[in-house]
Amino acid sequence: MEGAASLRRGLLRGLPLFGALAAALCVGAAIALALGVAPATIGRRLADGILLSPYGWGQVLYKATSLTCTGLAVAVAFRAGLFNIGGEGQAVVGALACALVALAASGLPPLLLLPLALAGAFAGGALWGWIPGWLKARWGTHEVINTIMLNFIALALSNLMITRYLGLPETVRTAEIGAGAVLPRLGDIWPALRGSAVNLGLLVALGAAAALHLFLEHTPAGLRLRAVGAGRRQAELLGIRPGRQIQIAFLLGGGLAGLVGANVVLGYKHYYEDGFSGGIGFLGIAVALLARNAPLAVFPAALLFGFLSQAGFVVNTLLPRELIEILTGVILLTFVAGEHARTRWRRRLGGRRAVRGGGGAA
Amino acid sequence: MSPASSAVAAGAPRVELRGISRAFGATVANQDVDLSLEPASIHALVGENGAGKSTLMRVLYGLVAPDRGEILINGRPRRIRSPADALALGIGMMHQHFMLVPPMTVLENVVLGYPGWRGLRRLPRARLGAEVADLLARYGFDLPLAAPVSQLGVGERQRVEIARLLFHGARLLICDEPTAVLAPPEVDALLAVLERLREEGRTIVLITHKLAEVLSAADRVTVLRRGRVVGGAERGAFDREQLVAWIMGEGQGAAPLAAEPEAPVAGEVRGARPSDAHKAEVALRAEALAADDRQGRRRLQAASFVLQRGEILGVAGVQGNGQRELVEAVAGRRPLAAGCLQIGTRRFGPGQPVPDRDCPALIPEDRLQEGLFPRFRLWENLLVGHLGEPGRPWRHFYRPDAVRAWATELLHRFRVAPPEAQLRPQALSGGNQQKLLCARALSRRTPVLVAAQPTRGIDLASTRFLHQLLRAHRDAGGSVLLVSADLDEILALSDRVAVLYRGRLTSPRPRAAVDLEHLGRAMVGLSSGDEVA
Repeated sequence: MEGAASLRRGLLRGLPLFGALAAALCVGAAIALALGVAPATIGRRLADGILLSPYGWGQVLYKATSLTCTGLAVAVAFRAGLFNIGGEGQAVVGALACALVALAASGLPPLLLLPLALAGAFAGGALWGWIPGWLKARWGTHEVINTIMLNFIALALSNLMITRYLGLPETVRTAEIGAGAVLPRLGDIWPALRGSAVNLGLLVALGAAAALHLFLEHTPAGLRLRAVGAGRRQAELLGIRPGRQIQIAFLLGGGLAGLVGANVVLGYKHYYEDGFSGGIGFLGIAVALLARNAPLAVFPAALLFGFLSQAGFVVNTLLPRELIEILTGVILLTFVAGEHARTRWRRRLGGRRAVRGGGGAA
Repeated sequence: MSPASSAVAAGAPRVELRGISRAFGATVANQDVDLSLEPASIHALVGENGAGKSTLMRVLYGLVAPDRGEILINGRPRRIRSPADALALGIGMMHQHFMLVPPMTVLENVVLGYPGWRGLRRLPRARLGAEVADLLARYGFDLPLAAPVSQLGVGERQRVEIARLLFHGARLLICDEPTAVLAPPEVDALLAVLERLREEGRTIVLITHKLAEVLSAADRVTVLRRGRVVGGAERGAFDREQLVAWIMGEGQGAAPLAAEPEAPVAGEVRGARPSDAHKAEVALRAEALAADDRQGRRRLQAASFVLQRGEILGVAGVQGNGQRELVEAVAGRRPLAAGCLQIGTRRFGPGQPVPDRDCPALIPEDRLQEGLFPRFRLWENLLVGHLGEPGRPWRHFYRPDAVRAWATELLHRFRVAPPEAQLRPQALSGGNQQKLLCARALSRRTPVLVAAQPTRGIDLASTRFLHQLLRAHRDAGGSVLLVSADLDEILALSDRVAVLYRGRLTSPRPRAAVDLEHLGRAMVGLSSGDEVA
């Protein structure tokens, strides 16, 4: 009886996701048919290009690495009751800081240089994230507005710095970082992946997800942060200072987004290039949404969007790339609607308990 | 139309609920409930939390669809699918949490939903203003029509709510615990209004936990227990004992607790207790405490008192008189504007935050808005009150299953039902939520407990148990600052009593030197606090 109930609850939990995937498949197939492309052709292309291709998987994993970082950045803020729409700017500042640290400290041995460059990525993003956090804690200004604005500032700042001061002449990128600061590509370790961009930044992102999970679910500090998200007033009356927790959440969120720099700069390009971000900060919101803000679910959700993005690449001779954006939208809308239905259903189960609990004093 | 039927139409409809059953999942909220509501009567509906009173009334108001049963209005079966249907039939409901829009004026709130004010049309302010002013005058409501509701006190808001229902033609009014938020004189005024409404031929359904109100105001009472009607009688055909027996279930139920007198009679003096040994040891001292609200307005002025070990100091105070500021300042959770707070031997002044380990335990007055985290599981709700406590195994890291085991033990000890640490607070009844809060506060290793309205709106069994807990804490040498608007509670528990009115605290008097009536008057400023003695 208990087992059946928990099975039902589990199915219910999975329902919005499977519904969203099914809807995306249907819509994708319908659009393909309307454009005169047989869905089977697309399927074959996807199978050859990604599903059966180690290179394709490598590309998916590379994209998922960045999306994991920005997804975690949104998730940690959300657990504190905050919206971090600033992943894009935080990733830009983090990556820039990462490259600058790697260039400046290039003389150090790799064992020191690599952690230092990673710390630079985290610190750059954390600084950019902390600004709206501090503004919110100190003055109560709304973090959504401020994070969005800081995205523009970060992008403009990056452009200015690269074109005027830091970039190589006639380019929009910095010089190459030394070999000591490079995160090896997985292709160097596992030849089947050769050519794809996936690198040890993947382990950094997975480690960050695990660390965030431990922090949120197993430490008093994480519980304090979640308490502010679950009830600010309640938290205050327990001696938890919301302003402090807001700043911590944004510092952590910004830092996690900054780790994108490790993946892109240290792992793939080996230099900082202006305009590399291309919306990964915003897609991080979708990732966190699909992951229900649970750190351990962020990577699988990032894989899905990484897959979609790579799929757009693989089929772009057959179909317009806007299709991918449409499918992303379909997935999100169906998922949100499914979640809504699920909470209503759960509330009905919960209502039953409320009555049973009554008069239980006897 | 015969004269008789038109007389009925002018008054309230005769409403009959027949065989109403409603289950939520496997649990039955209402089982074959019959209830008939006569015009021109006050019908009290009583029972423990979770007995099914609210579900039944939500069925009548169109918020919950019954699984079985029917509703007859003046003998004709009717389907009520929404509150709009209910209101069209003359049935209105006053909720426990008022359905008012705080930034809008009294007039706008009263007429909100008025059929002639839709779309982009302008509110016919002058005409409606006169109409509403008339209505208010008829019931002796002294309300400023142009003032935003946010500026009104609780009692005034309630009158706005009543006026709103009457304006929209409610002839049967369902009042869900209308007196829970009121001070005694306000309760009397409300009951007078309800009687006035009855004289006009309207029907009042009064959901309440306070038996005194049932005895004084109700023409008829119906008692629900576990979803069924277990008793009912006309005025004069029941007494307090009978009601308690119905509510608790005769002979069974909370037998060990039921043996205790519910509220000691006024004037009873408490005998010597084991805790007398601690007497004269100061647990907490407040010296001319002052505190401000969020907007910087001074809400608490120069409050001074000493809280000894092994005593319960009762503070009688209604919402909005600085009681929130007093509670939070004494609990170390609100910065002092002036004065000094001494906890144990440590002293704190303005600008000196009280470190967490020195803060008294706190039971805030609003259990779901200020106390419990609705989205947290019960074990998280308990754990979050004990972070940073020295000597706990979770200084830096915790294992959820270990914490769950600890929490389950606490839930059992404080008789939270069901004692399942994985649940969320909404799965508990109000009484059990309050026990959960109490478990969190009393399991803190601090001698002083600050409790605000610890039993507001909860059932008798839970109230008794919570009172027992507070006494046990006191008898074990702990101290309690009990702030409550419920004078029976203040008088039943306190060793000394003070009154908080308009931000000023009277100096505490021994329990034997105060009585209910004077206390009630002092709480609303009808006599100065010093006459209380």
